[in-house]
Amino acid sequence: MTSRAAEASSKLEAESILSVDVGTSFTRVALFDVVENRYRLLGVARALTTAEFPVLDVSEGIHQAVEALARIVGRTLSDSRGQLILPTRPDGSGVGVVALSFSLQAEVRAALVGLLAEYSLKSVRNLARSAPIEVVAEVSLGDREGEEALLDLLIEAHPDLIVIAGGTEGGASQALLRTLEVVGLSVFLLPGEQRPQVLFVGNSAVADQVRELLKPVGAVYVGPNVRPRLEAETLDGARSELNNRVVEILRSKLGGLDEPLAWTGGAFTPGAVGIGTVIRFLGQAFEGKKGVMGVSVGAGSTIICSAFGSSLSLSVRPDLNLGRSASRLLENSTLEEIAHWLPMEASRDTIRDYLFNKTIYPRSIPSTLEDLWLEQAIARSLIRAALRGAAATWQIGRMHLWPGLLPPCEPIVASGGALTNVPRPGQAALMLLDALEPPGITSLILDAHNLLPALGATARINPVAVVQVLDSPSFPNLGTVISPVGHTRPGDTVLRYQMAYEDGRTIRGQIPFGTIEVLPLGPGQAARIALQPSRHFDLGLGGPGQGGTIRAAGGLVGVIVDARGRPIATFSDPGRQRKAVEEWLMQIGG
Amino acid sequence: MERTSQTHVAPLVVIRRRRALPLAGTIVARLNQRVQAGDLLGRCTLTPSHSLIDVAHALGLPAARADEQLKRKAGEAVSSGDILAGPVGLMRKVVRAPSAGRIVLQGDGRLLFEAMGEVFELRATYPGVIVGMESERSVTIETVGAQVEGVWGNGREEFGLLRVGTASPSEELTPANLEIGLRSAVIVAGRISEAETMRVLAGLPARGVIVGSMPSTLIPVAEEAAYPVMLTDGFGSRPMNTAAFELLASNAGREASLNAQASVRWQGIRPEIIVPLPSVGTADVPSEGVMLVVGRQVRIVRDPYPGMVGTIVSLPADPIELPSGLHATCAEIELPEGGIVLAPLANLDILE
Repeated sequence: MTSRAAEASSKLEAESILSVDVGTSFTRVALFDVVENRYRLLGVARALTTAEFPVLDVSEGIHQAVEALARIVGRTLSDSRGQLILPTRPDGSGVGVVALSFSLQAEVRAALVGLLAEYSLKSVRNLARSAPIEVVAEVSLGDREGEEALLDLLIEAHPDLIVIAGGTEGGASQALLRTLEVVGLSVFLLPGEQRPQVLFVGNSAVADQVRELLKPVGAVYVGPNVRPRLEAETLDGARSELNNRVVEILRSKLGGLDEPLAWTGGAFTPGAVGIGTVIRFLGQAFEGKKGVMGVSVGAGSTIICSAFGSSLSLSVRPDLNLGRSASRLLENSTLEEIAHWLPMEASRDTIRDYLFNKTIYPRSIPSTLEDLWLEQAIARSLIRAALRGAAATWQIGRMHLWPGLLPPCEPIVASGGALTNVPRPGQAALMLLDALEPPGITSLILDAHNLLPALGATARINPVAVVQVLDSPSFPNLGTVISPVGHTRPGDTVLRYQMAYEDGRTIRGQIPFGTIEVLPLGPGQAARIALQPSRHFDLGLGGPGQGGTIRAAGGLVGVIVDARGRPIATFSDPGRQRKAVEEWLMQIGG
Repeated sequence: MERTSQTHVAPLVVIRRRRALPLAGTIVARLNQRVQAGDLLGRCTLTPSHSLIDVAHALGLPAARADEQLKRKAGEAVSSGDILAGPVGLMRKVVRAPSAGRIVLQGDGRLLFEAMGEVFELRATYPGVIVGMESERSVTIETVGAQVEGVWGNGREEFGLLRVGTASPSEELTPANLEIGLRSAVIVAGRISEAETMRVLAGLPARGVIVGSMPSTLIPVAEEAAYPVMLTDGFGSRPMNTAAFELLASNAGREASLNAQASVRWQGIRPEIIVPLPSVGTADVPSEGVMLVVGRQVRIVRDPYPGMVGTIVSLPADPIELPSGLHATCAEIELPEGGIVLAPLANLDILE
């Protein structure tokens, strides 16, 4: 990545960039500018998002954040009337260009319509996971519930958006058009101001007929077919169109968007798509045989994003968050699963009440250690639940070394308040290890300032800046992670190592099963580590028992050897499990 | 100055509430009309169901000829059994309305029929004067009184005499507390912890109950209850905040409107109780979006001081390390029972 960044720097157009991300709880702004021929992050600031009552105007939160940023960077960014100075003035005040993203979760209700449950409906469901929408109805022609049932279902669902898929490219279209007629009737029966937008992502040969058919009842948009062939699913083009629809709906629901959109000439990036853009960048930069993964847990959603080769998978779960929908975790997980990751005893009622109180006070933060452990255990369960859904959409082919485990990924980037707002970096690392259980060798990177959505938006206007910022201390490495795959008896040796530092020092040792050990290697440092797993353990270096020497980068935590096995060996006895969680926290420096 | 969430606990304010039909219908109330809580404002038909009737198939005719046999116009209301098309042929085949309803669309040998659904009646809930109207959809009622907002409601609404069921805001309401004097009242109490209490309240019967908290496991029981249930502080065993308890207790014996509607924070919609009071000419609409400043009354919403009410005495500029290890901007809050505690701004709710 470094060489690419350096190469790119020669093509710089030296404009300062203000990135703005309007999130569910906070609006974050960041200023990037060229220092010594490289883009660097000059400062970040945040203010409460002001989309809700009583303000109902997102621009107020943006202005507050920009004012705070101006104080931090010591630069005039707004004029005497409080208006953003754009472009930069000769005296250096203002900013050159603005990148805008929306990570905010407003209620966007979507109905999904597919011709066949096994094909088009499945694909449109996978498509829906890539956008911050609430699926309120799913129908397919195969439901056999009749046209009336479809009609009433769509009317009662009151969607903001109907996404329709069906038909392979050049395939039959009669059944699809008949279904669309019913969809058109349902839209017709809704009052004018409540009529949803319609997005068609089916057989492109009938796109014009679809437009014609539905034109009398409202806006119809067409995206690329999500199922061009029966055996092939293609979501990329439709994903962009879907997210454009979502932001358009947000524009109609939220006040104060006109001003920031005027700064960008109407351009914006949905937050999840921004994260996807950055993960794709990293995938190209690392050019390895592994995938790249991004995980974000916040007040609005949990996002799992992965790039395996050229395939990008984006799973956005607004129903899984640490905010107003926190209690909905129980639809996808259990109180037992949450309790499993606690170092202290907590009754099921306490955990349940915590989740429901979080829905009432979504911006509140843990004051006590017990609350912090609870919140982090919930974050683990959110990621695990989101991962179960996301894994179904991965197209990873031969990359899958260990079925049932995460495919090899490097790096894994963590974003969102639940993962980045931690007292000690070891806590963020342990949440990721417990929730994702990455096998083999990987590295963990922290999006310390929650910049990923905004950086994705910045990529539209200045990809060079994104590459250079990703290669900066704004994205600190938590550490290299070595997680041998396999199991043995507690206390048995999993791995022997010898680590050679750049200054010539060496350390060596062996790691017993069921433990985590951190080998000291600070940020910016590197070392060569000779690894020899025992014969039952696989590091991905050629099979069980096969060792090798790797070059490891240091980080805020160090080199983390997770010798708990894969899947992680946990205890069915709650007391022993609590003790183990406490020890793992101590071992990783949490 | 910082912003945070805000809850109205106000002794005397002007309250304007939009009362809307769920779907377009008929508004029967008039502008400037004085209404009582139980007065009818309007009605509409809920969730009508639809049928696509294949007239051509039923009559055994091609679509174009079937259209010639249609007897009613689109938009026309019909009664159950009314002839919609036909008669045709020796057998005098006809298509009849499957129920009372209306014809939405017809043509091409088919007919879209909308069956009449259940009738919804919109009541005033708040006594006051109608100060605004939106044709076929809503009215706005203005009243003057005390207001306490809640954090959770079971979706029901009722009007009744306000009574206090427990001696303190932290005391639990139990079946033993539910004496006959509380019958037909909107009951204020510290908290509820047992489903049995909910059942006894139903049998009393109570017009409604307002408590500081209840365990989240009781949500299904509360949602089944025929009377409104409102929580002022949260789930678990939190006491009712003292500001709300004292205000409600001071209005015991007065009639009150309890609207335990679900929260829609985007729009500022929250469950609430309003106690109409005689206007003395000093009431104003509640302040919205007030800032955290020294002297402001706040409630702490999380451990280690959940539900405690106090006054901000200072707002340190720099972030402070909390017992959790997190660093956050905090406020120093003086509690009435003595002592000053530190709480992150994110965990404060302004009581105004």
